[in-house]
Order: sequence, then structure tokens, then C-alpha cells
Amino acid sequence: MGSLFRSEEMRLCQVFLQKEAAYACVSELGELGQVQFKDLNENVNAFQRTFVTEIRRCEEMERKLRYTEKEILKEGMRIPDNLENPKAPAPKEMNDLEVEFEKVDTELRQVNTNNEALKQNHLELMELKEVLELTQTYFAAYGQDIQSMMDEEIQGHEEAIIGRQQTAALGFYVGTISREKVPVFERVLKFITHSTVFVRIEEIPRTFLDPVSGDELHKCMFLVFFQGEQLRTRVKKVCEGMRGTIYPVPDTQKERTEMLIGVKTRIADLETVLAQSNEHRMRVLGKAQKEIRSWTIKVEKIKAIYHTLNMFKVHQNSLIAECWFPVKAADDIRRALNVGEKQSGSTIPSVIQPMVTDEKPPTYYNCNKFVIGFQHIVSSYGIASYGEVNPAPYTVITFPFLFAVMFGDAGHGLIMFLFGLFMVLKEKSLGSKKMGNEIANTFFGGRYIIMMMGLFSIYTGLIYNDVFSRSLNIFGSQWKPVTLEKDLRINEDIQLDPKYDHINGTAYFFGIDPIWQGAKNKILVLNSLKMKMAIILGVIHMLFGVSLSVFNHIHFKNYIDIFVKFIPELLFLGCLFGYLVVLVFYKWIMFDAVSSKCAPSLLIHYINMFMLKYNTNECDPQAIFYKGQQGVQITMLLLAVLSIPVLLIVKPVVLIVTRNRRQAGMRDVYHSSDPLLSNEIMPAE
Amino acid sequence: MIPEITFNIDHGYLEGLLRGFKGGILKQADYLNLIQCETLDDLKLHLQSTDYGNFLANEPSPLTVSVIDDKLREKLVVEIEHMRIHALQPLAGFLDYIKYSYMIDNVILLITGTLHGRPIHELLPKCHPLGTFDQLAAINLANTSMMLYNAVLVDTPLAPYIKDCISAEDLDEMNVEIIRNTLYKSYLEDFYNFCKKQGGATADVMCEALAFDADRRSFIITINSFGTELSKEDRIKLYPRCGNLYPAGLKLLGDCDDFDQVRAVAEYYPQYKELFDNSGSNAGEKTLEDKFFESEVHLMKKAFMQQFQFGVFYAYVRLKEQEIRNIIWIAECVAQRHRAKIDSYIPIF
Repeated sequence: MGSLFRSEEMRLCQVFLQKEAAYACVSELGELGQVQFKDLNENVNAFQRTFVTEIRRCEEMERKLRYTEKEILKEGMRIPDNLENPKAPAPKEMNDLEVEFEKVDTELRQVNTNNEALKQNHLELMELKEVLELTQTYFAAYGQDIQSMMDEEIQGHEEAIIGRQQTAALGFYVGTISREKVPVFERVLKFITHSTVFVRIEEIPRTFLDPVSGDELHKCMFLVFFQGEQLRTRVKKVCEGMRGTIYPVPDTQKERTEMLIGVKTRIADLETVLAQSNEHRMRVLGKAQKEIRSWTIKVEKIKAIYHTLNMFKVHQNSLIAECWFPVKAADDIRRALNVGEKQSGSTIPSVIQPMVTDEKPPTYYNCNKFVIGFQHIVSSYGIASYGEVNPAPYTVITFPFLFAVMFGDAGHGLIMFLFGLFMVLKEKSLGSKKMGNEIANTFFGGRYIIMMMGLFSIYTGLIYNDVFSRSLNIFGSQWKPVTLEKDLRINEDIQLDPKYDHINGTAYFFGIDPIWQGAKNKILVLNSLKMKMAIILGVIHMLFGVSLSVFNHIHFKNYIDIFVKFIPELLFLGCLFGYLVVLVFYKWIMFDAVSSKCAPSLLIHYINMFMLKYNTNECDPQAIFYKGQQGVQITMLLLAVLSIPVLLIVKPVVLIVTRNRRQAGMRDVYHSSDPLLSNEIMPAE
Repeated sequence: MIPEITFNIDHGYLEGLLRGFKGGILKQADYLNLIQCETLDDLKLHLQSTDYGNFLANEPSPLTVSVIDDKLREKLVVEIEHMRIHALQPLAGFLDYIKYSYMIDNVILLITGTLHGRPIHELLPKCHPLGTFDQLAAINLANTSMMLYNAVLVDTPLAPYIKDCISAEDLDEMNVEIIRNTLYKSYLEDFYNFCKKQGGATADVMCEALAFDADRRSFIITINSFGTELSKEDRIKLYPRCGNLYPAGLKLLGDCDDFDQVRAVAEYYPQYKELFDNSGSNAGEKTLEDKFFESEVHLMKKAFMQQFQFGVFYAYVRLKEQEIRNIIWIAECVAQRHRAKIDSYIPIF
């Protein structure tokens, strides 16, 4: 049976690998991607497994790579992705990689430390420069008045200054503090000194860069005037506590000007040094930038290999693995193992030995890129267990078709189709670009689905005769209204009677007649048509789904399920909804323009079927419309109702009985066997 | 209206989130694995397979216990801050109350630090991040409790708690202890009343938890006060008056002169009698402190039995704190190759 219809045939095997060849073999198997290893050391701690040191080394390497990557990204450089997929390097090369990463890491850290120190220095000098300039202007403006301003401000706190020596010289501190700390700073100063100091805060107009994180810093300059030694220490302590920096600003203007000139030259010097240091840093990063992607892949592969090796059992000089793989891939696996052995120079070949097991094999579908999208949709509802019928192949048609039945517009469908087609044609270049956008990725993953949905929408759109919500009159409408110009002039609306105005016996060549586009009851007619179509398609769809379960029952030899599950389901569905579909067709065929006045109302009829109401009036939408309707409908209803208890009760009863029997030591009759067991154990019995 | 009905409107998301966090608390099986570790790197490797994930991934080997401690704490802080930011009143207020206890600890830490002459910028990073506030930085100015109140605490939520012990005396070790206990006492009583006001299951769970905490403090204060200059009148002022011991038990405790008398007081209370009976300082016996911790863990686990209440948030923080203590204990034992006592951690689940 096709591998997509059921799962690929899977086999559990034991693989004996030579210790020295194991790494290369697993690497090759990993590249192949067809093997699922079982964890044979489930109850061994992560840190007590065989290759834990290697994994730790990988983690250490990853850490260094992450650091380097972070630094590269911080610099605003892009990490090129040149789509290379390097193989996992041999274990010997791991040392080389380690040395290399270590070199990059230490170099980078060293550069960063130097850089940070320089930047910190630079930051302080810049702050000092700003502070000097601001104080200069401040003193120029208020220099004479500070004492009087201060007295004025303190006046309100008379009791606080009693006892202070008014004669003490006015001292001041100048410094910078983060903008967000200013309110707290002011408040604490007030509390601590009982408002006897005079604080002025000026915002520094330019922003600074944080030497460590590179973030923008907003700073404010503060000027604190105080009298006396005691206050000096207090103010100093507050500044320290709030991480403010105090700068030694001289008292006289002349000294300040000199200092400013000195600071400016020092800044200029420092900037040249900084530029050089930055250049060095860029060189180091630039070197790493080219390689980092392939390094990361390599390290991840090494780590994955050792993780896999940790799942193996160690036995003397060999490692024993248990793995599932599709039978079809057996040759590829053999070949991969051979390559691995050759690479590692091992002389003793590895051994693959099939194992007998009653474990349920994993489900595996070998999907191509067209089917995979549909398979994903199905899998999101649940993955079929091994051997169960996979609904994905049918979804390829039903999913886009049912979408189109609802979408139903050829114009919009065309746009959608073209969008899908574009993605399909540009598959290679789009796929290689890793789209960071999750939604874009979803669209790209479903490109074939979108294309198919567009295609089917064009089809249904043509049937509904809807192109951008307009109709096309391609083949000529089959309605021939016989209206006089006089009528048209008098009446706004004209009713067309199909008895006279339609070329009976023919129909519009394809889809719905375009004349409905202008009709007032367009929605009513189309809704009625589409509703009926939806019921017909839905019931067919469901019937198909139910029928698929027969294949499962036969495959798993659950013949009883055919009788207690499939047939009642079929009866229930067929007798109620299948019958409705039949009625729809009956009504379509049996009533024409002439007899349509007496056509039955399906909805009422269907309700009456459950109400057991039958009406024999002549030409009444509620009346029965074929002979023996009552008998047929009651039988249908009875069958449907009877299948409910069968569905609900019989299976559990069967299960209980078989379990009791099994417990009584009887042979297991009812067993949902898996194929390996039935193939390999049953014949022996 | 019964608060349970409308609880989920405001706090449903956070409760759900918290119960998810709670699922990540290490189980007994994890501890059994952890105590088998040979090195701290083993410890890291095992913690990677738990909810801690790769919280240590960016730390260069060799690891130290203090790095692990910082990272464990950081993780808890991130979780609590996340919840605090998303919380609405009254849950926001409740979470703030949880943070107050950390604020008290920080204040005390800084005062003791400055008393020993350590510079403030060295001490600030040691503060618990859940309890930092801007004014903390000015704490080195305070050399009397009056100054402490005026300069640091006056516009923080802790201000009302310190009112009882303002004096112009210089701060010394003894004073600091008194301040700590007074702050804690007022805090516990305030928190207790807050929870009581919430009513419903919150009051049930939290009052029990806080009562236990209050009683534990009373016992510990009494036991620690023997042989110090603390007078009995002063001591009785430090007892939080919201526990099961209040009022009769506290009165008895206030008269105690030695450990046996404390034990005699505990006799009257079955839940504490058991703790005193099974503890001791001999080898193989658990200390009274551990006994209290165990009993706290039990109480906190019980808090998760009820839904639609704030107690779970408090319980989670306490359990997580215990877990951090456990991991650090094990890590210390591993680091110092002192494995004899490695299994005296307190299992949670």
C-alpha cells in the first residue's frame, strides 16, 4: 500500500557501532534524517551519561559564540547567511574550534574592557565639559546674587538655621546625576539638611552613551550651595548614594576657563584613541562575522550528535543503539554507516539487526513539498497512529475545493492563484531567505495550498458566475423577456415568468445565468441554490470520511467494528441526511416552471419527518409529494434512531466481555494488533 | 457580593500564570538527582532539564555558588515583577505587601553594613531587587532612627511602621535589631489586617499563614533574646500581635527566661508542640529553624488547595524562597565537598 495512504513501513533495529566509528556514523545518519533513536538510558541522570563532558564543552562553545554574536549585532552588523550547511566536524577538530573561539572570545573581551574604560573616561570628560560650560553661564548670570537668593529661599525655615554660623563661607558642589533620579535627589537633600542648602538643577541638553550597554543616558547638572562642613559631608554622602558624580570645579572664573581648555584638549586626544580602539574591535568582529553562522551550525551539530550518543548503551568497545527507520530507507542507512566507518577508519563494520517488538512504531509519511502543507493541516488535528489511514492525500483536493465553494469568486480567486503561483515559482529564492515574520512563513509554507485554493475558486466562481462580484455574459443569457417598451416605462420592476420568458429546454451553457445579476431576488435564489449544494457536498464529504474508516477496521482486523461502528454510522447519516440529499435532487428534477407553484417546501418536510406529520392536501407545500412517502420516512427515522444505541452500547459491552475472557486466561481474541507483531509472532504460533 | 464570583475578571490571568509557575517548582525526584551531583556543572546540567531552563547558560565555567544564587533570585524577581506590573488592585496592593518585607530586609542590611564601615555603593548591589527603592541610597546618612525616618523612610510605604521606634539614640547593633523587629511587627500586623479586609478565601489562607509567621517570629525573638541586654518589657513590645499566640501565649513568652520555658509555652499549642518536640541540635535531629521551615512549606502547599484567592501568590514566593535556599544548600555542599549533610534540604513537592 502507498506510503502516504498509511504510514511508511517502519522497522525497529538494533545497531552495534564501534566506539571510534560511532561519532561519524551518527553524523552521517543525522544528515540523512531518516532515523529515530530510542533513549536507552531514560533513568540515567543528564550529568551521568557517557558523553557529558563533550556536551559541556559544546555548551561552553555556544556561550562564547552567543557572546560574539551579541557583540556583532550590537555593532549593527548583519550576520550573513550564505546557506552553507557544513557537516559536523570530526571530534579532533573540536579542539581547534575551541581554541579558535577562545581566541575570539578573549580578544573581544579584552577589547571591550579597554573600550569600556576609555568610554567611561570619555563620558566623564564630556560631562565635565558640559558642567563647566553650564556653571560658567550660571555664575555669569547669577554669580553675585546667589547668597541673597539662598537667604530668600531659606527664610521660610528660620528655626532650622538658628545656631548655624552665618559667617561660614559658601561652599558648593557641582556634578551630574541621571535625570530620573532628580526628584528623589532633591527631596532627600531637603529632608537631610532641613532645606538649608540651595539646589539648582539644569538639564544637560545633549545625551551621553552608557559605556557598557551603549544606551542613551539623560543627565542633569546639579549645583548645591551650602554653608559649613557638616552640610558638606551630608551633601557628599547623598550624592554618592544617588550615584551622582561630583566634579571638582574651581571657584574663580579664570581657573574654570583654563580647566575647560584643558578638558577640551583631553577629549580630543581621547577621541583619537577611542577611534583606534573601535577600529580594532571592528576588525575582530568583522573576522568573526563571516564565520559565525557556520560555527554555530557546526557546534549545534556536534552537540546534537553527542546528545544522540548519550542515548546509546555502552557495551565494552561498542555502543548499542535502538532505532526506528522506514524499511525503504534501509539501504541509505547502510550506506551512511559505511561512509561513517570509512571516515573514522574503523575496520570492524557496524551491525544492523532487526528487532522483534510489540511496541507501536512511529508514524512517518514521506511527503513531497506539495503534500507536506496538507499533511501539516491534517496533523494539527492529530497524527494518525501507525497503520491508520492518512486523510491527507484526499485533503489535497477536498480542502481547496470546500474552501472555494465558500469563497466562490473567480476574480479574487485569480489574485489568490497568482499570489500562490508567485510563491511557488520563487520558491528557491524565497525559501532561502529566512523570513523572520511568522505570518509570512505561514503563507510561504502553505503556498501550494493557496495556489490550489485560488485555482478552485476560479472554477467555483465561474459556476456562481461571480467575477469581482459581477457576472459575465459569455454564452448569452437563456432568458428572453417579452416586454414592451410601454411596460418598461411604467414599471420600475418587471417580473419575468420562466413559463414565457425563458427558452425552456436549454440552460445557460456553464454556471448560473447572468441575468440574475440584475434581479432583485438574486440573493434569495443563489442562497437557496448554494445552501442545497452545501448540504449535498457536506453529506458526500462525511460519507466519504466514514467510508475511510472501513479500511482501518479491515487493516486492524477489527471486523466487529464494521458492524457496530461503520454500518450504524452509515445508516444514521444516510437515513437522515442522505435522504435529504435525495429529496433535493427529487425536487430539482420533478418540478418545472409550470408545476413549481405546488412544489414542496423541503425545510417543512424535513421537520415534519421528525414530527411524524403527513398532509394530503392538494397542491400544498406541506403535502406529501410522492406515493408511500410516509412509509419510507418512518422506516428511515426508525433505522436512524435504532443505530444510536448500537453505536453507544455494543462496543463497550464487547470490550468488557473480551477483557473478562482474557482475564479468565482465555486466548486474546480481540486484539488491535500491530503489523510487526502479526507478521513476526503470529506465524510462529 | 462573594469575591470568588468576580475574581477571574481581574485576577484570573495572573492566578493561572502563577499556577503554571508553581508547576515548575522542583519535585522530590529533582532533588534526588541534584544531591547526586559531583560538581556545580552537574547541578547546572540537571537544572537545565527543569523549568529553570538555561538560566545559567551565559555564565562562564567554573560556576560559583554566588552566581547560582544571583541567577535563581533573578528568575524569581522577574516573575514577581511581571505579575506586579500586570496586577490590578487589590492584588497589586497585595503584591506590594509582599515586597515590603524585602524592603525591610534591605534597610536593615544597609544599616548594619554602614555600621561596619562598608561603603554604600558596595552594599547596594547586595540588596534584594524586590525591595529596592530610590531613597535606600541615602541610608548611610542615618545614624539615629530619627534620621532614618526623616531622610529615608518618610515617604516610603514603610514610614508608618517605624513610627513606634523613633528615638534620637545612636544606631548600634542592638538598636538595629529592635528596629528590624519593630518594623516587621508593624508590617505583619498591617498585612494581616489588609488580608482580613479582603475577606473570603484570601482572608482564610493568608491569616493562617501570617499568624504562623508572627508566632514564629515571637518564638525566635524570645529564644534569641536570652543572654542579651534586651529587657522583658522591650521584648514583649516586639511580638507581632496577630498570631495564634496572641494574647495569652505572648504574655507567657514575655516571662520566659530560658529555652525550656519557651518549650513549656509551646506545649499549649499542639501545632507548635510538635515542632519543639521533634527538634534538637544533636546530629541526626533537625533544628527548630528547619522544623519551622518545614511546617511553613506544608502550610504554603495547603494554600494552593483553594482557588480565587491571593494566598497562592504569597505561598508561591515563600515556596520559591525555600527552593532557592534548598538549591543553594545543595550547591554549597557540592562546592565544599561536604556531602554528609547534603540531604537536609526541605523537600517541597
